[in-house]
Amino acid sequence: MSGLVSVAALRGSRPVWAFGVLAVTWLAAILFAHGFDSVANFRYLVQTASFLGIVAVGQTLVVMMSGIDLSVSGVVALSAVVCAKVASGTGGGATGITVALLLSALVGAVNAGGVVWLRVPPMVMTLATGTILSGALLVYTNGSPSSAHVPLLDSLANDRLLGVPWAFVLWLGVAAVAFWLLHLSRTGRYAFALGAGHDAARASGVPLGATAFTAYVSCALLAGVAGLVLLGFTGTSSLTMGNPYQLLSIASVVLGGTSILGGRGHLLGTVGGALLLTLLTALLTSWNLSEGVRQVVLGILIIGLLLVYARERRT
Amino acid sequence: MAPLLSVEQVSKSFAGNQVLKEVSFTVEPGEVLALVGENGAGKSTVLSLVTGLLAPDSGRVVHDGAPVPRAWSPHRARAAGIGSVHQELSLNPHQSVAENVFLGAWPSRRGLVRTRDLVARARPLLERVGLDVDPRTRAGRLPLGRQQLVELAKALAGEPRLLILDEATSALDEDQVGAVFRVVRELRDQGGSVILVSHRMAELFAVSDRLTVLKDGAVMATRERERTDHDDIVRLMVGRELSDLFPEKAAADPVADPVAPLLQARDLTVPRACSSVDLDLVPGRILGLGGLQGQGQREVLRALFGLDRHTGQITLDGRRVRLSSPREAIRHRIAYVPEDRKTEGVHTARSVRDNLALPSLRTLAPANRLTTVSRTAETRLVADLTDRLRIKAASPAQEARRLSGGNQQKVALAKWLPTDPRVLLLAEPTRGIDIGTKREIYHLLRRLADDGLAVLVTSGDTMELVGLCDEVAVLYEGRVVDRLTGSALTEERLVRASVMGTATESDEQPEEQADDPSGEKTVLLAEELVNDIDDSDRPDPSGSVTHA
Amino acid sequence: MRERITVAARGNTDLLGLLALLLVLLVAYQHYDSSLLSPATVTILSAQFLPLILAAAGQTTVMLLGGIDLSLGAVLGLAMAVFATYEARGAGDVVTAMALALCVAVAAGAVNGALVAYAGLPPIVVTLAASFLWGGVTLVVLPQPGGHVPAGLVEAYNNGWYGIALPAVAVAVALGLWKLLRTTRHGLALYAVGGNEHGAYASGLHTRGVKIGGYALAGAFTGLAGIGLAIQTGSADPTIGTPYTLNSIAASVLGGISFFGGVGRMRGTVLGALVIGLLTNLLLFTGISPFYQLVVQGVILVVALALKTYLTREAAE
Repeated sequence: MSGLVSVAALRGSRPVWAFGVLAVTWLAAILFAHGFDSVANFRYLVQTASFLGIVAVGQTLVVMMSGIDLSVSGVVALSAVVCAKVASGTGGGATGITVALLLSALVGAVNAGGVVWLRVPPMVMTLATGTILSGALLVYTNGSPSSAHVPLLDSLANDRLLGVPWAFVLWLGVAAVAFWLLHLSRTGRYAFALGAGHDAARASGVPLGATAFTAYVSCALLAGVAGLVLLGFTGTSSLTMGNPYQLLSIASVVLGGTSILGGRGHLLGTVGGALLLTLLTALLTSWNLSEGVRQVVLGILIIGLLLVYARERRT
Repeated sequence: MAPLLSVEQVSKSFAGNQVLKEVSFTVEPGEVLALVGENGAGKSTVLSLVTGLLAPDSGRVVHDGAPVPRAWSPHRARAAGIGSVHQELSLNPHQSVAENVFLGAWPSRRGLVRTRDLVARARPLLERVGLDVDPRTRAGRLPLGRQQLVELAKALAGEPRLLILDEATSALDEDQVGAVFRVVRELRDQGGSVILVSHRMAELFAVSDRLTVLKDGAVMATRERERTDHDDIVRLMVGRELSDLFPEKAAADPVADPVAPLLQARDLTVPRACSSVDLDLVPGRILGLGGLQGQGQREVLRALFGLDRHTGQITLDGRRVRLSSPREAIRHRIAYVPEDRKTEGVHTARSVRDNLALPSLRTLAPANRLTTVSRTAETRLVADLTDRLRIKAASPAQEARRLSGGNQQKVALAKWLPTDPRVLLLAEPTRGIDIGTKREIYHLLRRLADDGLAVLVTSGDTMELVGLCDEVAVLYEGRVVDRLTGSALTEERLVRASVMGTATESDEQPEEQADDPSGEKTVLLAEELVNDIDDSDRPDPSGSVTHA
Repeated sequence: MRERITVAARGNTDLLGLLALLLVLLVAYQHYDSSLLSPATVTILSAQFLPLILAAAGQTTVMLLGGIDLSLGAVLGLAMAVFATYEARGAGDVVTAMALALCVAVAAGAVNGALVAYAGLPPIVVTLAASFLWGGVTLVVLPQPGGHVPAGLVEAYNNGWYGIALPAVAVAVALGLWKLLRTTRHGLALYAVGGNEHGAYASGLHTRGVKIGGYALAGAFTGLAGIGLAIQTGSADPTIGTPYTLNSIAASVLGGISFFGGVGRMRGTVLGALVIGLLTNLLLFTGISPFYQLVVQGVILVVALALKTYLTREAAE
């Protein structure tokens, strides 16, 4: 009730663990690895973490209500590809961005509709929309997506505000809004209730439809935003540019201490999770390890960390 | 002769909560031991130590003259000749009856399990427990009672020398209970031993040789059956005499002082559950739905809360309403406390605070769904409710699963109060709850009725219906066959209507016989569904067995 | 007799719909390729479908246990890489390479299973993390597409060996072994644990062992799928396995395997995989851009599941 937070409560809180591990890893990186002590490096890290982080924040909203969104990779590509094509064609940057975001939101709505009305399990539903998206993008681009320079996206991805990358600022803004949505608003309570037990939530009058639509549309929208920022960052779009984000966004959520089964966790944990994953990847890269060894180590590290603090209660 | 099993000074705690305190008892060969106690007294826990589901913190279990090894497990227990049937079903609903009977120990020839073999071997076992089903039927297709008998057949398949029946008869009818007892006696006569847990006092006295009473995790006493009686055992179980369990009933006489019903159901029909049910819910009154288990009581309640699809007319305050979802029902200020507390009543993984606030979020964040929930208003609401219903929680942040069953039930009920309901629907409101909390809930329900709520209660506990309700409608095969009020509302008549499926004439039975709960006749009639007097030890269907 | 037929039909209602769909597809196929029933076509088709069928069989094994394997594609790629590089390094013959690849896949599956059984982590999370792990190992074994499979084997596999469709035989043998396993204690235990894990434990089953065994078996199916894919394409590609994760789930779900474990038949999964495979080919024939393939596949998956959910809901009421 008071401002005092007991140490025991902190130890039991999995998001706190995520930040604890992040801090220790970062400290170790600065002390023992080469090049992690510069401001430029820090800046670059938070900038690259932002792309993953924005997707992961959206994923958190869905996972919390015991859903899952496997179509985020498709949506990231969709938004970038569509925006690039529209912008490089006749449309111009603003139209491109608008169309991309609208389409992303539409995908989210389709996901939610399938889960709520057709009662298709979230994993299958989002898997299917993801597959459909990859196919649709192939058809749309005829296999060769275009590149485009949208000034707004360029500066969003690469410029800085008082030395802080805009992408990171955007991520923090997105996280703040999502924090409010999930932890302060009524919808957030509904999401937690649905995640903790569907039947009990229904019997308490929780609106499944509205909550699911909010979560899935927000998630897809954020994936769309991430796609746009990525487009600005690389200046080009590709059909596979979203692929890493499918599994990594889920890994960020889980490493951030949110239960994959829903109803338990904290949005800020996901921020820590995304930073941690990005930092680990950067560390492994800095050691000049091959792609394969990097993945192996990352996989082992994720499993190890999950074993330390993310075990589900045995029932 | 050495005892077959002896439990010596075992203690066990869960998360700092001691559930067994130096419990000791023995079971001799050729003996039936009854374990008696209120829910939460530790019976299931101590049996889990014997069957290898749990390990004791201290003390030991000695089986067949040797302490059980550290790595005691259900597998080893079964191999050592301990068979058990738990209140929680362990059948796989998707496999056949025969496959379930030999679950984990399928007989095979050259490594192959032949269906024909399995079926042939299952038949005599099923016959032994009085079960006439095709062994190839999928287990999930059988009604609950028959599934429990399959469990018994499964335990017998291991040719146990010690059989543990933990609430194994709770879902059985009279004939089925008879079959179980035949097996128990057979086993005893062959020198085997049985540990029996049941909430039906009459059953315990019918087959057991000794009774060991547990209370709050400690053994109160062990009595020879010949040297004790119901009252003695109940006193040991409860530890005190309990007065005014039930509150005074509504003063107003419906005939002299008619009140317009608040909610009227006409021709209420839920496919395959109930048909043409008419109900009038009156403000200030508690209506009960009685009958044998599974006669449509549950579905009537679920339909009125918009959970089950139904046909028929429902009017509220004289206006037709459509109750097609819980949200709609809640909008009409109907509240529902479900039977399955742990999956529908409360979110066990969420805090007490979150649980209590959930139905009131509309008022705590009034503008729209994106409004911030007011923390201060929420805190006030939670404090008010925990206070008012005396919910015992370490703090509002405590997870609901850490509460006792009674406090969980209080949460499931309390969360509706701030929504200002006009109709309150409760299914089995006191199942698996200790008698003190029962009393609190009865009195609370009456206070709510006095404040003008219309209350509808289903219960398998006859005494509860008779003691609490102003009127009881008896369901039989989905139809209302009798309505009992005033002096006609007695346990005897309720049981009679439940079993016969017809209305009873008011002058047929003398009243005093019904008031004698230990009377042979009542017990016989009641055998099927009922708790004997002072029964407070019903099984919790959601499983109160704790697993490590 | 009649009773037995109705019983059989009732147990397979899910499959009847799928079977009907498959027949429609076959008729359509026949329309475009009249040589459908010729041995040559059967060989080609079975060579093409083997990896998906076996991968789906692996996924089904895990799903029957109530789990899900998101690392399946990575394990498939790993088996492929091990198989295609071992012999190329001159370290042994093709049979040893095959055995080694299979062992690696089984071990990977067993590790997944052990993590699920002992760590208290949900399968989706374990196999998600494991997909990084096995994907990485694959890249270590084979950083770029390459490797080598003996030309004679590729030829025999894809075009028949003395007129015998080797892939079809391999699939039949694998499914026959599954069928046999289903009638052993291990098979029954798999279903028992998937259907009611706690009940199985309380009945004295070693649920952890059963899980590890099940995941290892899934690894075996996946490994075979990877070896098959390597032979079919004549080389290995470390990332070619990725789509198999999703496609194997799709085939299993189409085939009626429940996400909650314990429900479903392998024959359904095989039908599901065949439907997906035939559909893909059919789209090529119809001259629609092959790009539509994925779209159609996704739509079919949603429609099939939604229909099934709808029908079971109707039947329940």
